[in-house]
Amino acid sequence: MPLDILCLTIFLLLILCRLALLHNITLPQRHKPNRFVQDLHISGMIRDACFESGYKRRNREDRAEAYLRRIISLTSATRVDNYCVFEIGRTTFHVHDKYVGRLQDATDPMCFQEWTCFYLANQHMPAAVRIATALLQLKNNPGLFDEWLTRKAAFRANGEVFRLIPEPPFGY
Amino acid sequence: MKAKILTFSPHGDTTILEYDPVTADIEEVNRVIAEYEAKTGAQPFDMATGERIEKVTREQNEVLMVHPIAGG
Repeated sequence: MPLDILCLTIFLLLILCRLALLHNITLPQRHKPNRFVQDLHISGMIRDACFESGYKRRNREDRAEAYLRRIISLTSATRVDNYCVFEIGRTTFHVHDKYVGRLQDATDPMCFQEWTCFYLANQHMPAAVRIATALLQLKNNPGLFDEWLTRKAAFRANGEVFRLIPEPPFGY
Repeated sequence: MKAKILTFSPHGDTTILEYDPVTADIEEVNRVIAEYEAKTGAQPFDMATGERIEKVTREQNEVLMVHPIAGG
């Protein structure tokens, strides 16, 4: 009798082992992505994102640059590196993206150059757009330079004050 | 051919209005420009000549709204 029980136990154990072995072999393997493929995929996503933002920035700069070129030809200005020079009569303007210089009489050796900063309401405009805006406005109304030089206000192209710029707080 | 009212934007340019200069109601176009000017202070320039214009006519195909500049 004990021998029968022992044989039965061994038999059951063998069946269990067999089942366990079969289960291990035939269980569907969970898909584990290859690390290399995963890395490639991530680096591809990063590359695409960088390319897209670079492309957008390039596109935005190209469009602004195209406008600046058109306005340079309309105003008969000359491009010198990253700024533009244009003349109205004897007066010469040097238009940079954030400031403008004026030489009232280029033939007078005693004449000194005046400088003033300028701002557009939207601070995110590309530099080419800032130069193009100043070129157009100065070409149509050279007197705007005096307004920019002396008054803290935003001026329309025709010289009217659009908005006064508040004085900074005391001690600023 | 379509005519355009554009303005400078952080993207280089943005179209505010596009219309057929032959058939469009120019008074309506000028009304849109006047509203934009009142809101932003931008004034219209003819992109063919680079000159500031008071009113848009059917002859202008591209008008650029130029924003105010502040000095300081």
